[in-house]
Amino acid sequence: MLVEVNLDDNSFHSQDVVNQFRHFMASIGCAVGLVVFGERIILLRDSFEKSNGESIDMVGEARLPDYLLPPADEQWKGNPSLEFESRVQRWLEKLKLSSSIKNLPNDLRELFGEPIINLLRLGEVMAAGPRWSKAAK
Amino acid sequence: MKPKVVLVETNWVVDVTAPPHLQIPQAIDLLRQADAGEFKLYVPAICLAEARETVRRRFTPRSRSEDLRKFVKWAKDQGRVSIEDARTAFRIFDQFDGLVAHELTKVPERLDALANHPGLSIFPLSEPMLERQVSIGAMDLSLQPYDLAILAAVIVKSEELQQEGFPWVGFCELDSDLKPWNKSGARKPILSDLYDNARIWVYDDFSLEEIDQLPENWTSI
Repeated sequence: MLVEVNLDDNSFHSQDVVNQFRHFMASIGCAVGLVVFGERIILLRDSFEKSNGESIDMVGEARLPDYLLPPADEQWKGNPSLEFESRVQRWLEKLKLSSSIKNLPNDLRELFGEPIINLLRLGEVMAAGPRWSKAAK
Repeated sequence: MKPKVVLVETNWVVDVTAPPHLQIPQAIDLLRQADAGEFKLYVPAICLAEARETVRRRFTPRSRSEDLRKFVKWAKDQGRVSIEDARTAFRIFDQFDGLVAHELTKVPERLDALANHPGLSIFPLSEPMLERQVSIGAMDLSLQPYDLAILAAVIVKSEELQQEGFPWVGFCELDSDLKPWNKSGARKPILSDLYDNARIWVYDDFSLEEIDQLPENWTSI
């Protein structure tokens, strides 16, 4: 599963982000993707019926209220984008716990369902690149 | 900015030599770009040996279709799918198992064929690489023997390439143990220093994303 995190929800460029993300999912053969735009989260899934990401459909979207997100890792404080990434990562890690799932708003619980939660339980949520070098900039 | 030389490891070899329907487009594209002369691609020979085992283990068909077979049998018995649908499903599983098993026998051929790609160089572990493996092994990195050998090979190769006029290299790798950052994106000091000193830019995938700015002095020999 791939996750793309954007601090802002700018509808003007969000479609571009989703299209690029679709392309990236297809290029590595990834079946499930989550895109976060601020307080909005989108779930994408590839049925693999077509090539080049043409069968990647938007399953749905839900609100991701700020209060659900745990505090960021201290080391990313001061850089809003990295803080937000870190908060989303920590939230996804916490979703492995059944108590966290119970606290999800209905729309989010419905969007995720068992398959996504199971994916999170099976794997490890990893930062896809070095945050320290972005922080240094 | 993109590198003129790119190193890869076992995960890339697995991704380009897997049965065709399981190969990763991004990995194939990297090889295509290298063959087109956009950069030179290097892989330690030890990665081919590791991939030979990994491909067989990861893609052995029985384990991949068995759960689905059990599900279809159960669903048919429960009346959740029709007998005809179940028959079709089993025919597809048979085809899948047959195809994958057949393709797995071709893995050694595909590994050998990698050597014929003009953009790819497969290099053996040299004496300096083995020596470096010992010195890095004493650095408390907790790496598995294969990872240690690959890391030493990549570092020494990068240093050799600097002598040949390539001031820095890219390293596309998917192994979390070899990444210079941890799961939260924080720097792993020892590993980062090893890569930085050898002027190796580590990529998290095979897309060779544009680099805005390289570390100081990396562009001079």
